[in-house]
Amino acid sequence: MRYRDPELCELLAAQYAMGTLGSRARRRFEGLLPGRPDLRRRVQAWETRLPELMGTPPAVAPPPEVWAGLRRRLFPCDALKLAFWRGWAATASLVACAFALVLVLGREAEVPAYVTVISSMQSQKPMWLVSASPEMDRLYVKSMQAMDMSPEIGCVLWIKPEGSDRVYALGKLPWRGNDGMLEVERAMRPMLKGELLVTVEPVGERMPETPSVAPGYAGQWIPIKL
Amino acid sequence: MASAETLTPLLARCALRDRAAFEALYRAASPQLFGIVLRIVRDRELAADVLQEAFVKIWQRAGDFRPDIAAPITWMGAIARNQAIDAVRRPEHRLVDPEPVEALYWLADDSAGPAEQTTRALEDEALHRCLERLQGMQKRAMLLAWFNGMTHEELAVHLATPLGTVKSWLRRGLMRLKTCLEEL
Repeated sequence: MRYRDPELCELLAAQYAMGTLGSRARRRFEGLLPGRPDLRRRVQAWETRLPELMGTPPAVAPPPEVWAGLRRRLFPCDALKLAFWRGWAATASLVACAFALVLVLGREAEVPAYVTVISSMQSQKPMWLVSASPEMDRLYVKSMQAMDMSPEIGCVLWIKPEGSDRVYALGKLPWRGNDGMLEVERAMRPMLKGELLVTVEPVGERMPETPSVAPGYAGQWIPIKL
Repeated sequence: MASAETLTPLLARCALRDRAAFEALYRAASPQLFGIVLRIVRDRELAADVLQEAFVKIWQRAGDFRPDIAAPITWMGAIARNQAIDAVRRPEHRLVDPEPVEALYWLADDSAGPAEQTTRALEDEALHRCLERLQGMQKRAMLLAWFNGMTHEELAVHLATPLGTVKSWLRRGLMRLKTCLEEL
């Protein structure tokens, strides 16, 4: 191609800035730019002229993930520090909540050994705060969000022990923004370390042996070391 | 829109690797750039990725910005626009079902849509007159290419017009604009 022809150069620069060149032509033209300051000047001139002439689309607020992604990518150390302090703050809040829960419930002033927030798997919204006594014989539960449910439906807490594919029912959770306590059977106590899951399903007098629906909420224990 | 007086020093500080300045620059300029990108790629998720890439380039190339040649938003807009065009040129992101031209009601010659409103809002009446020199389908093709980042081939399909005719419209349109600007 006659890349020295000033008219052609001007047209290509305009078409490049306009965006009408196909991918191959665009790549070819971009390949010329590093060695051709005259072409770069022409492109720059069009890139300045065109928005003034043609206008620009209205501004739109970008999603917040863009800035978070930029931070992680460009300043990974900052992002790690922030993640550490956020994690620390979250854990500290959980521990404080767990102590408050024990006090509010007015039971024996036990220091909880494990604590977790069970959140919606879909929206990540926190739904229940659960803490376990050191012997893992009692679970103290606070419902953080009142739910709108019919009477025959219940929120069933399950434990999926570490290394197991099975889940075991631990009991029904409060769901009206209130507190509650679950007694854990002796046989279940060694199995209590694992993932906590919650299903919302029809529940009668007896606890179901297996969930009838997929769990919608989950949480992982955080050990409290004092 | 953030002014050149605000953005130029921020870009200068970004060239010195000032992270706080980069964050301030992002807060000030990202809505304008996201508008440009979203208009071209049309998919919010892809537009977010493109915007992120554009700001990585802005951070890396901040030292190349020359305030005597371009306004900061123009310089950053070109980076964002080129990034968006590259994204839609990739085969996996090609527009399968392009928006029909009728849907872009604001590009109709006689309507008073956003493009025309933007044009009217231009402070420089001379620039406005240059755009007004373009007529009918030529102006329409130019606006479609500019706002949607469409290639000659895509425009030909979109406007159901032979490729040669579309190329000719754009070539003449661009050269007419250049002549008009030189006369100012």
